[in-house]
Amino acid sequence: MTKNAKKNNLDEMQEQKMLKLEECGFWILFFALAAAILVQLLMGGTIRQIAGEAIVLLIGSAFYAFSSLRNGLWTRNAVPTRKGNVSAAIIAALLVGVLNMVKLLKKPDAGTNDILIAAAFVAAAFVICYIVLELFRFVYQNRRAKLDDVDEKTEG
Amino acid sequence: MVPIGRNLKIKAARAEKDMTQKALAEAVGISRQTMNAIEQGEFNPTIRLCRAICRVLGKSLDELFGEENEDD
Repeated sequence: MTKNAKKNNLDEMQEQKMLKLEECGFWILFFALAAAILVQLLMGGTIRQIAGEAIVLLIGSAFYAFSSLRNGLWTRNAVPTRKGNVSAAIIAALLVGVLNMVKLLKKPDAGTNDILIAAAFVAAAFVICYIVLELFRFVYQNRRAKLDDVDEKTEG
Repeated sequence: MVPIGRNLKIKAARAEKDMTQKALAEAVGISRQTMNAIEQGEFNPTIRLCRAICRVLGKSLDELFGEENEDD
């Protein structure tokens, strides 16, 4: 490594391209990791077996979510709404439902109790996801208002 | 994003100063690829870079990046 290892050798167009590539890399890794976890679970993997991948995904997701909220950002194409959060929670619940359904189908002696437990997981996934998203929406709106207020004061 | 047209004013100002794209790029601290992209209207530079280009070419922001450039 040279003495100027920390010096940015990229100009602004190269920097923008690099950021774009890093963004693509992030999403490829994110979805590949999520897919790897899902496939392992569908193939009968236990929570202990997927713990490593799950922790990495959780840390990355938490950093991304909290950094976005701290900077008053949601997504590029959507604004947070209750309806949108309900839709996202339904998708999460469906995902958990599919996982549980596959597990039940693989279990020859699955009884009513197992079905009830699976249904409880689906309901819990919906409720937790919805509460977390609503909490995020509340934080986002407060943060957005605070950041916009500071800008206005600075302007005057 | 609004597309930007080719910036022929920079090319003309460069010619006045007898500067190549490479020389101008080096003077403002960017790559020739980026300089070419600016002239071709493929990259929208920041105001800081616009000002650096203006300083080197001895022109104002309006002369090099004024609105009339979008019709060129």
